[in-house]
Amino acid sequence: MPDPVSKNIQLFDGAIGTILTADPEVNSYSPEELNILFPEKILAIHKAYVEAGAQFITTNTFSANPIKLNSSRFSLHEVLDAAIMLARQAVGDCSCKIMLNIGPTGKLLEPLGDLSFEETFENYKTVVEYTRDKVEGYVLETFSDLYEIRAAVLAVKENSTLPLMATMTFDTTGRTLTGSSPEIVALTLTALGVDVPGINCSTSPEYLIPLVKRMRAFTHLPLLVQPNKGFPVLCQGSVSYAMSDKDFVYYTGKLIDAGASIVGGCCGTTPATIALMAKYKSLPLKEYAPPADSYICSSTRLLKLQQGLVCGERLNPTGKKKLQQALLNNDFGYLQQEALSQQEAGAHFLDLNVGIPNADEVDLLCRAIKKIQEICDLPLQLDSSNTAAIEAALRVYNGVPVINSINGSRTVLKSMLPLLAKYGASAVALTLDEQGIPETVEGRLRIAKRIITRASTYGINKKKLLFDALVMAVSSNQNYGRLTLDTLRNLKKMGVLTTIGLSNVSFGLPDRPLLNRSFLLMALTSGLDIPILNPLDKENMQSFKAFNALAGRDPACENYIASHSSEPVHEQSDSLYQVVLSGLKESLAPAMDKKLKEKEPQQIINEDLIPALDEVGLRFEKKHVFLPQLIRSAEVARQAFQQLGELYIQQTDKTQGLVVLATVQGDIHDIGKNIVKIVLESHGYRVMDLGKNVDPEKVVEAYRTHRPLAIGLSALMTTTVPSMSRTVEALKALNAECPVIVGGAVITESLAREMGADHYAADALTAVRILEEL
Amino acid sequence: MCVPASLLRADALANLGYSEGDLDDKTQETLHSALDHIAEWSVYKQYYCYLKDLPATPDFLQQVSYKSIQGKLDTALLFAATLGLGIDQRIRRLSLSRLSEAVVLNAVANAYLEARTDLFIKEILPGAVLFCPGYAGTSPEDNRSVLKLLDAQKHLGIYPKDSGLMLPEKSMAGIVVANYRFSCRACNIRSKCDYLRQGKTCYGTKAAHD
Repeated sequence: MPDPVSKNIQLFDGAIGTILTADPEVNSYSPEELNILFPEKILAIHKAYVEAGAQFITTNTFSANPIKLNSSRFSLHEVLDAAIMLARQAVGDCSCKIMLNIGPTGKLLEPLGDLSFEETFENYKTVVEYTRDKVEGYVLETFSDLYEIRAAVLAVKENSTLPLMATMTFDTTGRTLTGSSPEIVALTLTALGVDVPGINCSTSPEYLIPLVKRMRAFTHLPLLVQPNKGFPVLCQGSVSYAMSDKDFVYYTGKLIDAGASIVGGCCGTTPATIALMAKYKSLPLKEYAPPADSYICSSTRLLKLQQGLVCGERLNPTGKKKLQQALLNNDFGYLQQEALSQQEAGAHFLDLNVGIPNADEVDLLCRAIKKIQEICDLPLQLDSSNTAAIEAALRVYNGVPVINSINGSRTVLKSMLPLLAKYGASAVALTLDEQGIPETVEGRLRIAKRIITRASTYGINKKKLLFDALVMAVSSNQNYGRLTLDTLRNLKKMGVLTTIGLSNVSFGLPDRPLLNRSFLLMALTSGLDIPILNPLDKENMQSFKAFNALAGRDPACENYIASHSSEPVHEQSDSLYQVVLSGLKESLAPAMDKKLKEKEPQQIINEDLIPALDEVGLRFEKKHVFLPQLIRSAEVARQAFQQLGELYIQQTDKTQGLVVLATVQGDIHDIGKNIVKIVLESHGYRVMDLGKNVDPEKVVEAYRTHRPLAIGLSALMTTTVPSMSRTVEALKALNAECPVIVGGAVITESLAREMGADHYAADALTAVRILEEL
Repeated sequence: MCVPASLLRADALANLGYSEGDLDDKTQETLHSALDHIAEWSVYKQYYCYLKDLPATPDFLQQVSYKSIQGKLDTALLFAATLGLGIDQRIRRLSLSRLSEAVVLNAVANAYLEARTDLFIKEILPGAVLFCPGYAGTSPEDNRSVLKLLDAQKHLGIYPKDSGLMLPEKSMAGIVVANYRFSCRACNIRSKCDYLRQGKTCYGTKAAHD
């Protein structure tokens, strides 16, 4: 296998597209087709780069993948064969290595776009399978989405043993299009086993110097840097790059000083530019150490694993019927809200467990990860005892996660350590093994040492492991608390990070929050670094912050002070009617407490909530209040309904009924639909939210399965009206007994009628009125 | 931020149906917070090229639906702008936890994108307006052609979707035309225009004068 890295700075080639665009004879063709239509032009460019001194020649295949070539007159194989043959011909007998150039698909991946991670993987896999015996390595270039390059990296790594270079492009804010920083890119690509990460295209080379320094701090690997030759300038209909070759070469020197190991050029560079850079080939390559600390990340948030962090425990259906039911119904909204609540409460990363009896955990965990990463940027701790679920989750997780968990069992280590090594993940390491949980500190430490030793054979540093001292219920054995504390003290002597799942300690005893809080402080004093706890328990979090301030872990007591800074004073009321009318979220709890002492839940609904909502509706219709105020009232009323809901259902054995809502296929705007949802819920209706971009079949399936009171469809764009029509048609073809209500910015009464909908709702309140009349 | 906060406030509040006098304290507070979000999460980027610099007039501009601007293409330019994905993600996130704030931020983001674009257009072609595909019976799907001609994916990170929508959602694309006044009179779908029937127009101001 060729080694792409020597002891000296190495030289890549430069742009191909720039030269082709400037050639009027060929600039109307796609560059890939030119491999076949004008092979002599491509050959000449490759030869010029070889003569300029480039040691790596990239094939002219930036867009040669099934997704991008789908409308080409040539097949993928024809293009790849021709491109590789031309590069081979140009290189001849010299020692240049031929790297197959792979670019992005030109589509955005889910959840931002339509392309699935799996489709993206398959797209690149097709290319790699066909070319792995024909080139000396792969270079992924100009990716702007960390998730897309993840799919491409896995496709190369799993289908070839060739060296892999992977570079991303950053804008002037120093982030990729989807918001990843250079640190996150370096960390993730290194974790995935890329041989050479790097930066290409992006902005002018001088802007890349700080970005290269930032990447360098997060990887020991050689870095490939290929900047544009300055910023593009549009002139006479064509793009040109203003920087001189001399300046470009000067900045290349600075990039090498900053940590670049292989240098080349992107847009605007030519063989002349590369020839001037050849002087750097005599410079010795510096060696770089891996980062001293251990990090995890999502695609936009980096987190150093260290004492003082909190892992939120609430994304776990154990003992939570509502969450279980939501997951079984594919309703991830509840999970997403739990994630956001924990983030707002101060959690630094979140444990995610979706283990439900009889559910397909592999599929469920992957979908839950995607849904949470869609709205919450905290890194995740993927929690499952199912190895297949963990492996699938590691593939689709965008970033570098923690795995919960591994333990000292030989079987577990054998199956899990290779996965940790492949994906560069961290892990919670339980101090138990196939024999069970040791009843002594020594037993637990012995297992910890075994895990460290076995992990090191896979190249996994102990800094990537969070050792769980194991907490068991003191109600069953009163020595268990002390055993955990002693284990923590001794684990710290081994120089590792520690964690515990706090709330187990109080199982079976009254006033669990008091015990949890007390044990938290004891454990922190004994060496606990990262508790896994409920961050919504305010007293727990305050104790944690107080401990950090007192233990010197909170510089200038900043976090402690921030958590005690006075909240803005809002209007307050203890009248539930007024609280709903004015949308006073902060006053809801005391107002509800007071009202529940006076009345039955059903009375509260009929005499306070409904009249308040009616009044808000009236004021909205008269334009005395406006949309944000209407929504605030609805949000408060919904919370009140949730609190009263179960009691009410028990007493009356009825609810207002189920309404299915969806934003139609092709439409990704869902604010309008969300407003309708919250207003319906605030009026006591149960809502099944199918989300946005929903195909007609899914709406039909929801009708068949749930037989709702009504179905509401939303569309914002004119272009998605046909999709709404198709959905209405599909429902009418079934002779669906429930009415279909349509609305959205572009929908009018006449359009609704034309498409055969039963009702048109201009706004959320109209939808409520329609439902009330059914 | 380059755009006076007072202008943004006024435009956003108008989108939400308010006048200054109607503003309650809580919405006022939400509005301030939305302006902070815009400053923190949005990155305004634009890219353009003169139509005269293209090898030929793009096919989509030769359709009859574009007749109202066809005589003004000599000085016109293709234009696209975006606030980036960060603000989309912020709105999505808020819509799950604090929907009323999401609605306000959405309105402010729309106002900000339009205001920044207006300022930019004033600079490069004073007195011109941005004619977006979708206006006056033209097809929103023509956005794809504008974005392709500008290579907006590379320069701005704007991805067209099959439906004609753009990602990031807070993006706009179109033709900057000088000496043009929006009017329903010349529009070829005037007789069946739903906006007009409701006393509105597709370009945002009341249709009373037409």
